[in-house]
Parts: sequence; structure tokens; C-alpha cells
Amino acid sequence: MLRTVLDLLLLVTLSAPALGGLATLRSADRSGRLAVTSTALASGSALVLTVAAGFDRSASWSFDDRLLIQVDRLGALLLVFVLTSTLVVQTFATRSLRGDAARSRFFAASGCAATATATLVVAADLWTMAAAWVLVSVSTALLLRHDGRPSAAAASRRATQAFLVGDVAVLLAAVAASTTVGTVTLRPEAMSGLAGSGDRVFGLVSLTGVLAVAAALAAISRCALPPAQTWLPMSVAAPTPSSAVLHAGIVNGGGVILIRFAPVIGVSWFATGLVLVAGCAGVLMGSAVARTRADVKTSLAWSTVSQMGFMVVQCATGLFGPALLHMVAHGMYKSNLFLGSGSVLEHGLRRRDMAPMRSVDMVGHAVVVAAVTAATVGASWALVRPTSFEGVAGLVFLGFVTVTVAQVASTWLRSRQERSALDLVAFGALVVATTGSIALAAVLKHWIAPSLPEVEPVLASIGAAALATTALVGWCVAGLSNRAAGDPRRTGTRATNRAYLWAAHLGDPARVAPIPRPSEVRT
Amino acid sequence: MTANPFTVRAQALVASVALPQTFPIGTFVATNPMHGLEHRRFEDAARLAAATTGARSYLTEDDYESLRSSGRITERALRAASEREFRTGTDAPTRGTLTEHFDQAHGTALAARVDDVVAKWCAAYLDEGQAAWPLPHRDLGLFGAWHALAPRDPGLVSLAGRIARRRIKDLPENGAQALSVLVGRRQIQEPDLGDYFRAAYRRLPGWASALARSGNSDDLVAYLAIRLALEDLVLDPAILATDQTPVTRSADGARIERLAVWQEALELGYRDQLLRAISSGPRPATPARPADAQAVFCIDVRSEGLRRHLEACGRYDTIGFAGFFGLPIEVAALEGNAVPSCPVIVEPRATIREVPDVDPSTATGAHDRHDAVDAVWAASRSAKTAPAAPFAFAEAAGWLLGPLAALRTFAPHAAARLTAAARNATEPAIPTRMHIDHSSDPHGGRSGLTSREQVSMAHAALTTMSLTSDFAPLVLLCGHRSSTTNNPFAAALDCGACAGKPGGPNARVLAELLNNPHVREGLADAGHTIPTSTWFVAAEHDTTTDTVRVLDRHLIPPSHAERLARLEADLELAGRRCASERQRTLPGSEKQHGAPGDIDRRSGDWAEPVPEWGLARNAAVVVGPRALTAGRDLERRVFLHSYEPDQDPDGTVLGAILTGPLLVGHWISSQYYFSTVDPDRHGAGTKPLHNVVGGIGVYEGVGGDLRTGLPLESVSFAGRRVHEPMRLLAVVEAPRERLERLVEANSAVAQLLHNGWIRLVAGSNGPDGWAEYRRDGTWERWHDDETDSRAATDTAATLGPAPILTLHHTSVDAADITQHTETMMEDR
Repeated sequence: MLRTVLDLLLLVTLSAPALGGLATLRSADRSGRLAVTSTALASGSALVLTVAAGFDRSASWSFDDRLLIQVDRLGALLLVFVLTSTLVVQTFATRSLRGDAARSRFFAASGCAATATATLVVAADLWTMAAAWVLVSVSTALLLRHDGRPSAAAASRRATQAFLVGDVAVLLAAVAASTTVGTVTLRPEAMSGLAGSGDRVFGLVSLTGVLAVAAALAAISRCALPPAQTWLPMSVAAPTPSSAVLHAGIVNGGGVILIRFAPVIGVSWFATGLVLVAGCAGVLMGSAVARTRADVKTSLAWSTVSQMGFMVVQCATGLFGPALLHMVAHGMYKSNLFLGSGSVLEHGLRRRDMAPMRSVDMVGHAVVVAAVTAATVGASWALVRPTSFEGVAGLVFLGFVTVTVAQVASTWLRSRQERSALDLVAFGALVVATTGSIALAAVLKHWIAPSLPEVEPVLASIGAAALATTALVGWCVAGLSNRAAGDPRRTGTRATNRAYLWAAHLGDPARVAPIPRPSEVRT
Repeated sequence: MTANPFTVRAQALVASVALPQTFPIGTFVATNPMHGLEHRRFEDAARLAAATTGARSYLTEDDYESLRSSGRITERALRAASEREFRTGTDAPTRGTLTEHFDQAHGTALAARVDDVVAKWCAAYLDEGQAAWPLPHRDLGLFGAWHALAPRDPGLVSLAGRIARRRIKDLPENGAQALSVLVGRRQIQEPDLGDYFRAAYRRLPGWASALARSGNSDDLVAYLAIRLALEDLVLDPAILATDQTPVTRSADGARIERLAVWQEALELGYRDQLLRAISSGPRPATPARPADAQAVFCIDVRSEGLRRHLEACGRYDTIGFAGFFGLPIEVAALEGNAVPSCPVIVEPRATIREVPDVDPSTATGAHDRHDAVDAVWAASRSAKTAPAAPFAFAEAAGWLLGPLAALRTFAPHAAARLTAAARNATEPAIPTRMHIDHSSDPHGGRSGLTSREQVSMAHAALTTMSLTSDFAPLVLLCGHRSSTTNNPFAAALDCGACAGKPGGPNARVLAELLNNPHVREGLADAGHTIPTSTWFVAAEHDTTTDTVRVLDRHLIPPSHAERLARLEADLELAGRRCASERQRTLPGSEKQHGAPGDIDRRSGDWAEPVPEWGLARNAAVVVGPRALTAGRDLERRVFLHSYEPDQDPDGTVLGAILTGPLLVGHWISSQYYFSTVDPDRHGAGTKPLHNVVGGIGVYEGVGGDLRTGLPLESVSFAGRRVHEPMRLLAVVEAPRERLERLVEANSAVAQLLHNGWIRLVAGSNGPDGWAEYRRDGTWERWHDDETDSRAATDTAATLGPAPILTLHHTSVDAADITQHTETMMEDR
């Protein structure tokens, strides 16, 4: 009885967003209410499925004993996240796109994307995943195309080109796996078994290698990592809600495929290396370019490139729990920033002039920042004892937390005009926020753990070190460029200027696509 | 051959007059984008614009045809319009930029490539702090930075090869010298410089106009020099300006003249409608009764609705006055810098500071809290942008921002109240006042007014608003502001007379002045005695919600509390009525008609594309006594400036009105006009695609030129025009000789009138009647032909709803109007 109900709910969860979206295209009521209602229905069902998954009652569909879809805890968490964030954005769009003639296309494309992404996160079979993967690509291309104005069409074409690599790779891998071993079940035990089996495609190349490389390529193209990064900044040619859907849900597909394929990637030097190089390049390029962009939307898009780079490195170094939480938290963070991108003038630039410090102050400042940071990180460490900080990779991750805390504390101190009791309140809040988010991460990770693969990937330590080095390089360049600002004689100015020019060049939208002038836009 | 750098610089500045005058988006001020062509007749300017940029200056003939078939353009108006003469000239600019000539001859797109590079440098240079990593060497100016950096720009090589590095280094470091070298190299002759520079500006009018704001010719020279240097790099050295065959776009003068007739007919129709409303129908009973209160509002068209409803609530006299209350000042808010708070055509003469009006420890505490909130924003911004910091920050902040996004989307009203409550809890407002007295304060610089300035400013304000006697016990000075969320164009909805900022501070300053005993003594000496029982109260009208908030409440004496309470209750009632009248015209409210929450929801909703209509549908300015317009529903389309012709025999006050409020009205009307007739070239594009850049403007989408003008959602919705594009109609109650004299004395106004940029009707409801000032300086008497207009209304009724959102059928009753609007809304 319960099984039937759950399976039925799964049907609603997976099909409702697309059906509702597509119905908007045909219905007389173009307001999008139909799409929103369907997504809400799916979102509610996903919640029930999540509760069930918590009690180890996974909804699943099989065909001929072949497990096609199964809502494990990982899938359940992502289902709720993807559908709820789509629901928020679609609701937003019912108002913000009210005057847009092409709004029903937005609802159709975002509904299809939600269905496809939802299917992707719970897919338990390679062919199911491949089909979902391609459907995500197609619906994203339609989402970006929107009303078909030249810049949007160009962005859609560029995304299609990038996705084509991943799509073909995933499909070829599915064909290869089918001909070699028949079915591939994307669950930790089955994948680990496959990774140890040593099967060869047509007796030539290792099946694990093929699967791993395919997953790596697919992830790189979906996460907009170099060399496939340009489609993401171009996508701001689509309306704000489309960007929010894209950055909240769709780009995370890359992380999902990396986690599902982790056992086979973990044994492939080549695939792991591919992900690490692209991930680190994404971190460096994304954060550098984001810092040079003067417009809010492409800056956010480039920042997503770096965040996705960070996330795939986490995946490649075995930090699946943190990677998963990064996807969810970053998705919420970024979609909020896109939806609110009209507010950037309201408080974003509220005050930015901080007087340069004398070196005497600098020492005292450094001591206070170090003390506050040590206290904050130490407190969270002591209170939470996070299990995710194990190994070199875990330490590197802890390093990122430390850097962030130090950055916040330092900026706070420098921008305060006078010391007061409020400083203590602020540091208290910093401790609470840091500890709270680490504790939340620990709890969630503990809950998902059963559906995470237990893998000790090759190159894990090297990968973590590479990420740390990348971040350090970015840090140094930024520090030098801040010091060099306005003083051409300072050491390093030439180097930082060239770094600036490269970042500005890579981020120049005209580099990849000519921007149509109004005369060309007009029909 | 090298041109003279001084000549080149001067020409660069002169040519920039053709650029639209624009303002940073945070202080959006409406201007006439065709300002540079006002010395030409309107239709000729339209032809020239069509010939140079392809921009439209009229609606299309199809639009006018459908306005005719809907009855909005009557046959009578069309006949009258076609009797008028419209002539376009024939001169046409013959010069494009070098790359434009080349593109035209070879089918390439070099000019667009050059545009992309120039736009990239402009965006980086003009950025006011959005990019965390700013352009290095900005202190060297645009050209200096480019000259220092461009040789190492990786994009340069792909544009023009490796040789380009050397060729840029070989240019002089000074922009004007470099420009003169380049001008000489391509043999652009001195007489052609202006044409060439204008053509160069036309390629990126948004960025060029932003560069022109600094008032310093260096940035404009840099724009031209970079542009010409890039053209020089991509074009064969043998291509010289002297060899170019002139290019002319076809601009069909005859078609423009036809459009001019259509437009004239549309405007004559509205003229007749307004004059009919003014001159006929039942006069409101104006018994000689003392008013309970007088209320001064901004001339802004949105004040008209509130004034009408307030007057209906009780014995209130309302007065229309420019919303800066005649004060040429800068205002420094408690925690802010001094910013101009007067029309951009007025030079601020003093700075007024807002100071705490509480004990020092409370003030210090408040300052500390404000500073802490600033530090929170600074810290979160640095965590977002510093290298290595955003990763962990996103993980922590996401859990907060995700639920917040859901709340703001599902329950926008509740979210707005929550935000306000949070702000109140962290930064509770403390009582403050505007410090009008002269002082050298510790913040540096002088502020305040000398006692002489105080009296003269107060005196000028009272005379210009024609309030010099018969003061009521309570005089409300009401500025206005808007309250919208997630709206980069918020300033476009604020007070245009206060340079795109809320008008409350100016109201507070004038109230301080007029309540000050010393100032009152001074005024009495000048003949304006304010009774001791009269108190001036500052207030602010929120045009998004139609609520009025009394300011500086702590300064109001208890003796006036009861009176004020009554006034506030009536203001609340009037505001509710005004809001529900307005709500019917807002898109997306079909299901919420009469729901008061919908108006509040719009104000706080981050997803709302049309929080209010702003000044859309503005059409005319009426300068005269309120009796002229009282009791008539002018549909929030008319600027109302109070003027008593009898009190101003020498025309001093009227002269000030014509050169101040009238010009500001013309700018607003033109901004809406051109953003409506050509949203692609004069408008800022659609809101869901807006991408705030540099803290100063928006892109539509990925990049390109900085967009100017108003967003599409300010003038139309879902493909339907909401604003009815019409040049400003000024109706002035004054003797025509007085106007003739003033027009003659003021060349700016004369130019606008004689070239058909604004329309003037003067006279009175007396035996003289009304007459329109014609372009040749003569007057044309206005006659109402009622029967004709009745017929037109009948035609409209049979043909169904008009294609635009107008409620112009004065003969239909309110229920019909609602029905009519609903039908149109449902059509979407």
C-alpha cells in the first residue's frame, strides 16, 4: 500500500513540472499559474518522498528487475531543493514576466528543466540518467533562447555547443556499458563493483575509464568550467528568472553525475585529473573575471564558474557530502542574488571607502583578526567536531572556512569608525553563524551518508593541494593589485596589470559573441 | 599634418551637445534626449534623427490610424492639424566614422568591433565600485589608462595584430595630442571635425553621454581618441577621410511631415479635451470660507489625484509648487554626504545638514548602530568578492538567503514588513531636524544659511507659490517620494525637481524657515505677515502607496495637534481613494480590485515590474489658480502650478515659472515621449533583462552600450502603450501680452515654442477666452465645438476599447471605466 502511494507520488514529482509548464504553452491562461501549481504539487510530493527516504522507504521504479529510478536520501534532498527553487522562481516570474510576450515559453522550459533535473538526481540506471541528462540540455537551450532575440539565441547556441560534448559523451558511455555489461546501476555498491571488475569495451579500453571520462566531460560542460565556460556568462541575455533557474538547479547536474560516478572516477587518474584541472582553472578564472566585471549579472555568472570549480574539486577529492551541501547552499545563494539583482544599488555600494592603514595599525589589526578567526574556527571545531574535515582534503576545506572568517572579521574591523560593544556582538554572531552552518552541514551529511559512495579517490591529496594553491595564487594577485592600485611604481604592478587585462579580456562578452546593436535587434 | 590639439578639444566638446543629457541611474532625472536638436523645428529634428541614427520621433502611421479608428484622434482635430504647416529641412549629415564608411563599402562589421572594445574600456573606467577589481591607472584618466594598459591587452592582438602594441605606444600620452595626431593621419579636415565627432558619439551614445557628465572634456576627447586609434589600427593606412564618399540614410521628409500632422491631431484632441474641462461644466462652489488647512504639493502629475481627493474630504485649499519648494540647496542627511536637492538646471547655493535632535548619547548610539550596519554590508560584500572567501560564505549565506527568497516571493507583503521591522530594530530612527542656521561645522565646510538668505529664500518660496496672505492655521508642505523594491530605476519615480530624490528634506527645510520667528519677522518687514497661530508642517507623499507621512512630528506644537490629527485622517482617506482609483490602471490587479493590500504589496514586492506608473500619461501643465481645475478629474495627467495672475502684474513670478517648472515639465514629457515612440533607441529596454552596470546605469542583457531613458515597463505593458506620447501642453491663466513679453525675454522658452517642442495656450475663462500661441508668434483663438466632440465619443463607443490604456471618455461614468479597463486587462 505504502509502496504504491510512494510510487504514485514519484510519478507526480517527476512529471508534474513539465506537464504544467507545457500546458501553459497551450492554455488560454498564460499567467503561469498552471505551471506554478504543478511545480508546487511536485515539490510537496518530493517532501513526502524525502520523509519516506529518511525511514529507508525509498520510492523506486523498476522494469524487468532493472532499477531505473530510486529516491535515495541524496536524491531526495536534491529533489526537494530543485523543485522548491523552481517553484520560487516560477512564482517570481508570474509577476516579473507579466508583461513578457514569451513568458509561457519560460514556464514550459523551466518546467521541463525541473522534470529533467529531478529525474537526473534520482536516476538509478545509466540509460535513465543519460536520457535525463540530454533532456536537461535541451530544456536549458530552450530556456536561454526565450523570445529568440539575437543575443539570447546566441547564448542558447553556445550552451548547446558546450552541452553537446557532454551529451555525446554520456550517450556513448551508455552504449558502451550496455554492450559490455548490460545494465549499470548508479548506486554505490553496484558502481564500486563495476570499478573493480576490469571490464573492457570491445576488449579494447576499460569500461570504467570510458564511464569516468564521459562523466568528467559531462560535468565540465554542465558546470561551465574551462574550456566550456563561455555559455554561462552569455546566458544573462535571458530574463532574470531564467538565470535564477539555471544557477540554482541546472548547473548542479555536473556535481550529481560526479557523485553518482564517483567509484569509477575515483580509480581513473585521467578522469580525476581532468576534473581537477578544469575545476582549479574554473576557480581561478571564475573568481578573477567575476572581480573585474562591472555589471552585476555577468559578475554573478562568473562567480558561479568559480563556485562550480570548487564543487567539482570537492567531488574529485572525495568530499561528497560537502560538495552536495555546496550545491544546495550555493544554489539558494545564487538564485537569491539573481532575483534580487535590481537591488545592487540599494545597499551593495553603501560604503566602500576604507582608509589605507598605517603599518603600525596593520600589525594590531592582524593580531585581532587572527585571534577572532582562531576563536571562531576553534569554537566551531570544538562544538561540532566535523567529520568532514578528515584528511588533507578536509584540512584544505577547513582552510577555506578560516579564510572566509578572517576576511569577514578583517573587513568588519576596518570599516568600523569607532570600537564599541557592537563589535563583540558582531563577533558573537560570527561564531554562531560559522558554528551553525558547520553543524547544519554535519547533520545533513550524516543524514545523507548512506547514499554517498565510500571512495578514496586517486589524487585526492594532490587535488586538494592544487585547489589550495589556486586559491593562494588568486589571493596573492588580488592582494598585490589592491596594493598597486594607483601606484605604477610598486613591485608587481606590471604583473597584476597583466592579470587584470587577461581577466577583463576573458570576461569580455564581445570576445565570444558580437553583441547586436538595437538596429539589428529590431525586426 | 597634425591638427591643433586645442581645436580638436574644443570641437569634441561642441559636438557633445548633440548627446542626450543623462544622469546616473541612482539620481535619474528626466531630460529631453533630443535636447541637442531643440534649435530646430520638431519635425526637422525628427527627420535629422531618422537620417543619422534611424531613431523614430513619432509613432508609426499604423499606430496613428488605430488611434483614429478608436476615436482618440478625431476627424475635427485631424482637419485642424492638416491646416497647419510642417516643414522639414533637407540638410543631412554626410559623414560617418571611417569604419562605418568601410563597412558600408565592404559589408564588414568593423565599426561594431570597435564599439565593443570602446564599450569595454568605458564600462571599466566609469565603474563606480561595482567591480571588486577596478581598472588600474584610473587616476591617469580614460586615455591615460588606456594608453598605459591597452598595449598589453590580449584582446588587442586579435583585433589588430601584434603591430598594434607598438602603434599604441607610439601615440602621445595626452589624449588631445593623440587625437590631433590621429585626425591628421586620416586627414579629417578641420571643418569636418564636428561632423566626424558627432558620428563617433552616435556609435555609443549611452557611454559617450556618461563620459560627458564629468563636464571635463578630457573624457570625451579620450573616447574619440581611443575610437579613432582603434579605427586607425583596423583600417588600411591608405584610407583617408577625404576619400570617403558621403553616406546618407534615406530620411523621407514627406513621410515625417505626414506623421507630424498625425501627432498634431492627437495633441489638439487632448488640448480640446483639457480646455473643455477647464472652461465649461459646473464650477465648484468656492464660498468665501477660511480653509482648515492649506496643503502645498509638488506640481508632479501624481499630486493631482491626491489633491482632488483631499479637497473632497473637507475644507482644504491645495497649492501646486515645484517639489524642491524653491530652495536651491544641497542636503546632507544624518549619515550621508551632501547631495543636490534642487532641479539640475539650478545651481545649489547652500548645504543644509540634518542633525540629531536628541541628547548626545542617544545620537552617538544611533550613529554607532548605523556604522555597524554599514560594516555588516561591507563585510558581506568582501566575503562575496574576495578571492577564496566566497566558497564557504555561499555555503553559510545560502541557508539564510534561500528561505528569504521564498518568503519574499510567496509573501512579499509580509517579507516587506519583516524587513522594515528588522531595520527598525537595528537602526531605530531618532528625531532629527534640518539645521538651517549658518555654521562652520566640524564635518568640514560651511553649511546653513545666513539670516538674510533665510528670509529671501522663504520670501521667494511664498511669492512663487502665490501664498502671501490668508494663511490657514495649518500649512502642510508636502514633498513626495516613491517606495519600490528591487528596482534600479527607483529614482525615476522620485521627485524630478529634487534631482531624482525624495522631496521630504526640502519640505522640512522650508517648514523650519517659515516657522522660525526671526524669518517671520523678516517676512513681515517684506509685507508678508504670517499669523502666530499658523504652523507649517513638513510631510512626504509616497506615490507608490499614496500615503502621506508627517515629518518632524516632534517639532509640532501641541496647540496644533488636534487640527493635524484631523488633517492626517483626511489625508489617509484621500490617499486610499486615490490609490484605489490608481490601482485599476495597474497591470496584474484584475483580481484584486479594491483590495487595499495590493498597492502595499507592489511597493514591497521584489518581483513587481510595475510598482506604480510614475509620471506615465503626463500631458500638460496648468499654471493658474486652483479654481481653474478644482473639482475636475484630470486623471493624474497634469502638472499643476499655482499662479495668481492678479498678484503678479510685472510677470516676475510667471517668468520664474516659465523658466523653471515649465522646462522641467518639458524634460519629463520629452523623456516619456521618446522612450515611448522609440523604446529601442531612446528607452532603457525591458526590466527582466536589466543588468545594472558600474553603479551608473543598465545594460539590456549581456553588455554593449549603456542604455538611456526609461524602461519599457514605465511607458507600456505587454505590448500596449500606456503613456500617450504628447509634447507638453502648457495652459497658463495670464494676459497674453504678459506672456508675449516673457517669451520674448527668454530665448530658451521662445526656442521651444517657435520650434514646436511645447505648446502654449493662454488666456482665461473670462471674455478673452483661450488662445494658442502659434509658432510664428501669433495667437489662435480656441473655440469649443461640442457637437463634433460628442460625435467622436459616440464613434469611440461603437468601435470598442481604445488600444491604449486611457480613461479619456469624460462622458462615461466610473463603472464603465472600470469595465473598460478590465476588458483590456483580460485581453492580455
